[in-house]
Amino acid sequence: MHKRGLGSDGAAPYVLLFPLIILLAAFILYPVAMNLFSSFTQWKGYGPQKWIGFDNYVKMFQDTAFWTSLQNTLVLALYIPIGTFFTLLIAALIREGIKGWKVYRAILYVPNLLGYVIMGVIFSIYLRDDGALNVLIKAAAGSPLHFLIDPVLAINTIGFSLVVWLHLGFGLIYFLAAMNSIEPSIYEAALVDGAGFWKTFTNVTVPSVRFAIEFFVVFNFIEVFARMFPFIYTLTQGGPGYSTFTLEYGIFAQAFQKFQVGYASAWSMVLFIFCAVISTLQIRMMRRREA
Amino acid sequence: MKKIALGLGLALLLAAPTLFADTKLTVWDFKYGEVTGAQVPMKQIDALFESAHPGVTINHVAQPLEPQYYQIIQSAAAANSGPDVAMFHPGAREYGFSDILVDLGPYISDVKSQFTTASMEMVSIGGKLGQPIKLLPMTMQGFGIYYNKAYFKKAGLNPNHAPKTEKEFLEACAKLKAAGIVPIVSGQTYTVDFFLRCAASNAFGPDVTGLVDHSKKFTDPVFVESVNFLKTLIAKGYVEKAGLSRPYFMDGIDKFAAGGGAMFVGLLSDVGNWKIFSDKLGAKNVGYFPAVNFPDGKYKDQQVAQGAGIGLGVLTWSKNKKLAADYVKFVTTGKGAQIYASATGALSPNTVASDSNSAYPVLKVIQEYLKTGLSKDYIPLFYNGYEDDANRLCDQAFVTGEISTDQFIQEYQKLIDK
Repeated sequence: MHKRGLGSDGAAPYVLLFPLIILLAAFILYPVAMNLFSSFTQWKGYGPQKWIGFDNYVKMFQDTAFWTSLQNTLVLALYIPIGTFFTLLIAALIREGIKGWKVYRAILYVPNLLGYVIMGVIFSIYLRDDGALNVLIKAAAGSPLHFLIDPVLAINTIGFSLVVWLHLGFGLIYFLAAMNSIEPSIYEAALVDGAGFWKTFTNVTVPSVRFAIEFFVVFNFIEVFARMFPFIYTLTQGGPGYSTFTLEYGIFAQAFQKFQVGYASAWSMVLFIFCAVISTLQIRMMRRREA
Repeated sequence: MKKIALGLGLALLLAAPTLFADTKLTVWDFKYGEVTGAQVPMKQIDALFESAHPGVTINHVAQPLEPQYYQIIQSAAAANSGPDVAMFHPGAREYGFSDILVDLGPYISDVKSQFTTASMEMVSIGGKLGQPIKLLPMTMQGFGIYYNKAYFKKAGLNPNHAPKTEKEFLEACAKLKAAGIVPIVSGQTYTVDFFLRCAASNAFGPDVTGLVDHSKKFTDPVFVESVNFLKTLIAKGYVEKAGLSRPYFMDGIDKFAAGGGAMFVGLLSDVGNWKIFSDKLGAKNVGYFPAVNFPDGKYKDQQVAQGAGIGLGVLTWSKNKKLAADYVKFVTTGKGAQIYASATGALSPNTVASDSNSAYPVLKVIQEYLKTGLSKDYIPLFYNGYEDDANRLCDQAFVTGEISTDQFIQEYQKLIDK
């Protein structure tokens, strides 16, 4: 029986892994362990930490802001299938070779270059009641749409603008690359069989880029749960009221506006669990593909 | 031996300027980013301090406004390193960071009596005189309603008569709206927040601290009436709804200053104050009154005020605490206080600092209200982050309509019962 380890490969694998292990320990394991510890303490981000057991968790589960933040995060997550389908469809249309597709692709990618903070600030000016978009809406419909002060519109505005529109550019590039790896003969066969755009899309394109779709969905989940903060902070600051107050925004508010870092750590553990579940799913998908 | 001593003495004397030249005092200031505003007098004050203290350099750093500012302070506290002097909001913000602020008591005995009692009370920990003083106040703060007299005239109103009663206020709004003038310009939820802070003065007067010991509650009928009144103003379209969706409070200030509407719930110091509006709209064109008086309100014409609006403190990690305290005193007293107040329109809580802004008619009006009836502002009396929680409730009741005014009162009370 072949035995793996130091005996067969020597110390080389461990030496090669050592820098990565150090980095993982310093930037992932240690912060997570510290956060877990902090979640059982009363702490304002500096000075002594006071052990309070599960008090932060009890408080969190009784806090309506926490449940509202979860609900808002889940509403945003509902935009993931919409955004994925929409992006995939546009990529398929562009792949068909519509005139000037390179220009469209470039235009749609611009938001990705600007980043969330800049886009958030631009949207906060563009979408306000007396902003540029509402000038047009008022001219056409007579009254503005309260994108930023109507609670239902506000969360959906973020869902559409971030999950669908802002991710469109990246998704297009990614899906187009995946579609380019599909054998042209498959499309030719579909054409011979008389399949139109829609049948080709559902029976050839989508199954062929399944792995890319799975990755894009996982990427979007991580974005929604853990990377939306800059956009929300610059666009709505979690408001009006609590209507765009997400789990991630709640952590910020508790830790850096109220200086209840121990309590914010309890919220962070919930976010960590969500992210861990999503990452595990992603790893399983990758393994399934490898198999 | 004498020669050696003389030589050493000479060497020390020669080295002295070099030693002092290394003394750099770092100051963090969230107002310093106003390049044409607060930065101008602060540069002047720093230059005066440097010339009075040869070898000392002031490293004045512009920091962002709150809430980001306090996140930076929190980081400095975690690192136990940062500026020698920093600007703070007296009240909950100061008390929350009291463990990193030096007790100024031993350094300020010579100037303490120059400050108003209200300001000394506010900078004392817990708002109680006799407790450690961690800041010296640069400004006092308050809120009130500014109005554009020309627009009042245009709408057929008497520009020299402020609509201070509930009835007069509603009539004024109706006439202004009918004349095509925006009655109340708004700047985010702060308009709602400031209006309620003014209204509380009519309901609670000097007894507003009763909210802290629970002898007073927001269920007070006059406060409830003011909440319903504000809701009516919004429902009737008297409060500019577009302003509630503007991303920045400053946009509301700019709109009123540019003649975008007839009234604005503004501040007494810092931003959106009498000087800014007078300079833009014309000194004789700006009227002021501190709050709407409700029929059952026991306290008429009360001016809601914070004894101290912003202040400077010395940080515990400073290696030059005495020098830092001298700088704090220099800015908040004597010429420093005068320069700052006259340039920015801030009302100084230092009674010795002479007032060079007396030419502004609206300032005289404000000063009269300050003399006749003062009510404390309740927002800084509670916890760090209270204003954010309170404003989210204001959003839900007055902007989105998610909760009724009754629910608002209940939730508003719950926040301070915590």
